[in-house]
Amino acid sequence: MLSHVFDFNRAIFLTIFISALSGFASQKKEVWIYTSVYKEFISEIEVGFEKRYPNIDVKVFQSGSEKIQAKVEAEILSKKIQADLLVTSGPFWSYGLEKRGLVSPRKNGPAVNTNYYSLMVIIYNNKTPETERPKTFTDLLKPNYKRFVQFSSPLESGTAFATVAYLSDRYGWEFFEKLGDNHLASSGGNSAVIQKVESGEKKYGIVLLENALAAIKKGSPIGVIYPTDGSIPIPSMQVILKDSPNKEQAELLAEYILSKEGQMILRKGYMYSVRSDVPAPEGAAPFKDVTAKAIPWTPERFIKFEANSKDIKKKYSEHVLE
Amino acid sequence: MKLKFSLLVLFGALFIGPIFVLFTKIDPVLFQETLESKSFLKSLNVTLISGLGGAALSAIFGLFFAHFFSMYQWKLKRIQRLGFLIPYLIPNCILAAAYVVAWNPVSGILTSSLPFPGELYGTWGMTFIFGVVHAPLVFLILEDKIQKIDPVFFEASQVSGASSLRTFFKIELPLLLPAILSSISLCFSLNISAFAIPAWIGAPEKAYALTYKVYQTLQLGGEEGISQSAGLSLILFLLAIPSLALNVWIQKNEKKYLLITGKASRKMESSFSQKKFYLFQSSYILCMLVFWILPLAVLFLSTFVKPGCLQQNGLDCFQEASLKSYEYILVELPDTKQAISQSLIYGTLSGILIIVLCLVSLMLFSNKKSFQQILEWFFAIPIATPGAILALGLIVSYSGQFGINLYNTAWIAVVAYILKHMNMAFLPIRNGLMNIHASLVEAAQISGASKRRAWKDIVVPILKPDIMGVFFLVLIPILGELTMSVFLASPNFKSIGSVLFELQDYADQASASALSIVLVILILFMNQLTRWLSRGRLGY
Repeated sequence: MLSHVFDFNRAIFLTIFISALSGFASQKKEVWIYTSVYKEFISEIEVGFEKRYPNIDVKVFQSGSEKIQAKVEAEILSKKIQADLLVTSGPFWSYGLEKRGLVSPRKNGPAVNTNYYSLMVIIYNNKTPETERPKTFTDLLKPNYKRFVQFSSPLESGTAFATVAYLSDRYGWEFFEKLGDNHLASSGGNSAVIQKVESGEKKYGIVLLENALAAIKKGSPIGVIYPTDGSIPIPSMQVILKDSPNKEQAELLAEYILSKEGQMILRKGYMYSVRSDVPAPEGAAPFKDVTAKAIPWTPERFIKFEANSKDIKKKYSEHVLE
Repeated sequence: MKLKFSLLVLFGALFIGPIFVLFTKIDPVLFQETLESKSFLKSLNVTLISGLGGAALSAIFGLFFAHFFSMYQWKLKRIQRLGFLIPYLIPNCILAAAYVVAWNPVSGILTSSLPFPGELYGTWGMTFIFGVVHAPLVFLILEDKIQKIDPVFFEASQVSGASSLRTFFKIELPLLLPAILSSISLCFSLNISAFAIPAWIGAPEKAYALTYKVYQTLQLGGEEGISQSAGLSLILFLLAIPSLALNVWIQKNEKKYLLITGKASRKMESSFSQKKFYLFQSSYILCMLVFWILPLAVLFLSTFVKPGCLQQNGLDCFQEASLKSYEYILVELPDTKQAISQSLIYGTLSGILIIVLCLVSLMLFSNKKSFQQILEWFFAIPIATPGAILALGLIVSYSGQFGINLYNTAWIAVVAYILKHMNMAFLPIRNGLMNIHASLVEAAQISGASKRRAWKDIVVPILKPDIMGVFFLVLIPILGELTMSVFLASPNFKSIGSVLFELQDYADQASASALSIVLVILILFMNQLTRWLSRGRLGY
């Protein structure tokens, strides 16, 4: 009966032809990385990885953690996931994704793994007298810093949110209430803080060390203060999504980022490596020294802050933004 | 009839489908919570004041200059006209950044020598800059209308002994009223959905416009963020309704204001008195200095020196001046070339598609005023929707879920550009059509021509200048489009706006400013090229 409908020889030929075509097409596999790592460094990662795995083509979507988050959430909503590996400075969101059951378990290591550490520090405009500069985060509450301090917005920047979660946990919400009374300016991302301080519009800023060091290298008139109450380490996380189409390749890329070669590339972008055999970035103080007084992050704390994220943002908005 | 109805439904699905897909994600409990919050009411206030105030300022600036540019002739008029249109030709984010460099309250390069009129940061600054950037739109709409007014009206008024001021208030203003109201409503829609100006100018003083709130909630909220920002977009959409209603009212009253009735019209020619000329010239120069010359000059200078140097050391910085920023964006950064060529190609394509869609829809529904009105609503909704929301709606709708997958191609950006700028093209073309009396098409049809033929031989040739003008009118904002491009850029597609945003966000201000200057030069060059190619008929 079927032979009346199908010409089997043709069907077999067609099947072989399509398989050959798809085999040809899939010779080079793709892997999509969505990352907040600066373009010049992620390009180096891409080149290094493709050299090691010539059959894998790395496709990059580079943007801020917040944009990546919005884009991935839209992909999740549309049920068409393109992102394979997420490398962002949004530790809470990464753990949140895991909690929602959207993260793929990994062969080697935890499902949500640390790529590197960024450091939140204080910067000053070079024109400020040395004796006036703050030494700790709590110094910024003093009246002589009123209207002089710029910070990014936790509603816009993942690292700013981590900082707010950390500081509110450590010093209580009075800290931000007083900062709000001191007219802390809070908008945009880290680069906005650099711009405001280097132009002299603000005298001091709370910002990521990597942004500050990159700006100083370009001739920006700013300097770095490692607060004596502990600079705030903020981990960047890597996550492979459960519904990612290229999990195997994503796993290889994730491992490459954690290899010594990958970490040396990230070091050039002034990020602290997670490996003990990779030194601190050029011009940066040793990680252990400047974070000695910081409270260490644990997955439990991330999950706690993720659960309270709405409340944290709301309280911050009340104290500082409104 | 059935075909027309199906086409109308298709337009609806294309234009408002993606937004409504997002509206379905609104969580009612969260939405109510948002509406009741103090910060929402404050944002609503800021949005309304700056949106309406900005539109009113645009109307005042636009009407004042359109009056003089339409009525009088003088040397250098074309260059001065182009000068007035520059704030519209430059992307908002560039102008806003330039204002901050020039006039931020603490370290603005011009703050102490030539202070900004009022506080730059906050609602007033936003209102003023909205007024500046959209005044050229009002100017373009009104200039055309004034030129079409029959000089007989003015002559009759003057013969009867009326002063020029009285003629303006009694003749010109009433005749222009529908066009003024229509341009105010267009400016209001653009103001409430603008992003760059609220972000640069409003946010530092905690004056958050609703679009900025949408952006904020979208940034860090995950699923809840999309729901909340969709809720806020719904409010923006509701805010745009009165301006749409206004346009409907204007349409209903169109017959009272017909400026061309198929008869020949000649141009009004008046001569300036010397006193009037100098008064006009000094107000023009003052406005242009504040509107764009000073801020852009400062931004331009800042591209040659180290970051922050100009603010701290003034002109001494130029001892170490270099072209490093330009070298970086033009030679070292491969994205710039890709972005410029792709923005030009896909921008042009979007412009052409917009015009084709406008003409086809107007022709198809020329007998159906109610359908035209519905279409206008379809086109107006995306313009009042923040770019970020529109982009996310498109990602959700065109990722294959509904059978079409445009994600990560340049086509999704083309769709976004069409959606966002359709209204901008539709209104002037439809208004142009309003000025063509129905008797012209009827005469052709009585003589045996089909509707298509009547449109081809009568309507389109009359509308040709409008069509060409509209093409450029939409191409320029597309070239500098920022918010949607940021979301829709992919390795396969980069726009100038997305590269500019990346530079501003992740590189340094000098490189971003250098790219801004390159973009301004590119736009002015394109304008000049258009004029040259069309022997002065097109472009500004």
